[in-house]
Amino acid sequence: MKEPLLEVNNLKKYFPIKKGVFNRTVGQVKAVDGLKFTIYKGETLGLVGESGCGKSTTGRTLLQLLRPTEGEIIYEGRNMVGLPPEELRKMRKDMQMVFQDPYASLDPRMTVGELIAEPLDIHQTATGKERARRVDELLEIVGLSSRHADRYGHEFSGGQRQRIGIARALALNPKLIVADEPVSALDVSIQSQIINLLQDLQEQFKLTYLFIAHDLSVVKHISSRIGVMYLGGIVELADKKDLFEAPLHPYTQALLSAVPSPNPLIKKERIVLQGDVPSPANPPSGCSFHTRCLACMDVCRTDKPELQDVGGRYVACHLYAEV
Amino acid sequence: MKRKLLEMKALKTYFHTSEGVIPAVDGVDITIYEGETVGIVGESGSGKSVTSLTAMRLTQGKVEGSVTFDGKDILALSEKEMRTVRGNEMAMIFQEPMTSLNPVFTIGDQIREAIRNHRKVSRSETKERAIELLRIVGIPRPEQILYEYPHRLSGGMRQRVMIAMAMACSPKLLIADEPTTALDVTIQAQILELMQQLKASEGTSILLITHDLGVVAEMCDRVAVMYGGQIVEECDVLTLFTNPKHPYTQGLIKSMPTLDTNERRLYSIKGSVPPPGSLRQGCRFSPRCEYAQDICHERLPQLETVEDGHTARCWLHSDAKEAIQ
Repeated sequence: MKEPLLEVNNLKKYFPIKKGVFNRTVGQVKAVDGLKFTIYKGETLGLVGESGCGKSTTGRTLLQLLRPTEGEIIYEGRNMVGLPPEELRKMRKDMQMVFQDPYASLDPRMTVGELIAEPLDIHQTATGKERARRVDELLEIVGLSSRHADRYGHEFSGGQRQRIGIARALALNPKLIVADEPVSALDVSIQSQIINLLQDLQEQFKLTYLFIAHDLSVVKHISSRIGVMYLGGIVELADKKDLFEAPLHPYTQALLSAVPSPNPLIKKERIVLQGDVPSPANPPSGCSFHTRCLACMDVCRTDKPELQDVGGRYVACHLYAEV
Repeated sequence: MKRKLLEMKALKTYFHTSEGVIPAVDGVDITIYEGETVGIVGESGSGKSVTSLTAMRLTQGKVEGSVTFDGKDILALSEKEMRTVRGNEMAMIFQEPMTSLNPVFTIGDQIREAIRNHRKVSRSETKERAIELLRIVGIPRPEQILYEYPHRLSGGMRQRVMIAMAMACSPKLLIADEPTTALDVTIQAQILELMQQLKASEGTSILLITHDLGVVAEMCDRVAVMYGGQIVEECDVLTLFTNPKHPYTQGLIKSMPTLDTNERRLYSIKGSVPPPGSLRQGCRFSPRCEYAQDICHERLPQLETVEDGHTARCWLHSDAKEAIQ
């Protein structure tokens, strides 16, 4: 039986839109609007979606880097939302983040050794010789060498910087790693090195990943289950195999068909969606996808579909509603 | 036999930097025939963008070699003559549509400028043509969008406007430098479809620069793979994916996760992309190549024909190897 590591209930994150001299709040950007999912121990949950769908906000809100507007995040039986900062800091030891841009996420004035030791210092898990030993060990784990500890971030290539970012995230032996587009900024030949590294580490340290990316082929490769997001909500959540073999939600179908295949022999039917993603500040009524949906019905314009169980997988679409 | 539209021969582009003179493009030969889509694939720093900029004479660096476009020697033209070619006979779209559009002019101003620079037409005709162009590229409400500023449009819409501007004078060649890299997949699908349609209706040749092999497979007739400022392999698109010869091309294709395969581990090319200018003896790819032999580290292989219409720059496939050894 799968054991849940983290449960998310009705998670919402709204950003206020402020205007005028008095900074009045005139509206809200509903970046994440009512998410519900569970991450099980040892799995990789992939989150895909187009820009602005709220996938990064979800990742950040899970780690409480952004305070949720509403909802619960239950980690090993405890709700993290609203915990006092000291308690939260202790819990955060178990969950770390790997960021997208390896050029921006490393402090240019710190050496690699200092960068990797920073989490050790903050949580005072290792000092003195032990600290230095741990830094060397972490560098070896991610495929760098202890010689690199005295160098600065700018001396490294993109792929190596991402390795440093991963070493930092591993420093405190976390259980959950939220990887927010960890390979999007890298060249193709480097991308596969980092993906392999992440998979090796998962086996070695029994890690659980929340893997956020817009590249479907990468997400498919690394994930065991995948959630598809559109305008702040999950529209479909299923096992990788089910999702790719038979996508249910019209948006998932269109998204999968839009990925160009690197095999010129496969000519697939493409569903080309019309129009753009609506603004999350002013989402459409009813189903958020109804403005671009090819299977739109009357009920879609008025009622918002809930994420419901359809044969062991979850879909938010009126097409699959029980009559 | 189709007519050659653009022919680059032994093209070299040098940049003067604080670290000395760097050949960003180091001896590139590419020919584009009429009505053809040619792709240039490569990773960052491989010189693929500089090659295309040089074809339009948009680089600052020193250029050697020859660029012949539609019978004209591009490198010998005066700046004034060049201006009648650019945007008129060859046009370009860029990766980042926001930074390529001028934020202080309306969409209409910018499209009209592109038309009036090259055609003697009246104001009302220009406006009509601008509206028609916007309609062709699939922009809703073109009469109103004409008066909007670029920041009011989404990324996909901006790229459509860029394409409308590029197509304003029905160019013979469209150079597209990573046209969909900044866009989401569903929008990318729209833009690629649009480019295919325009190619079919206007007969425009396309030089497509990208790092995405999926886009290449969908769009291109022929592909050149670049590494370290040089072409390492050139062939038609089917051959590239079914029978690649150069170890770098093979590695690139194998290292990509795809929706159609189910492998546990990805293949990866060891090491990292060399920064431009880190020149070395021998084959540029040899430090990362798993088949590298002594000769690879010592002498630079030439681009040789492997089979009909398929060239590769690799000692493994070279006839000259035995002779030298």
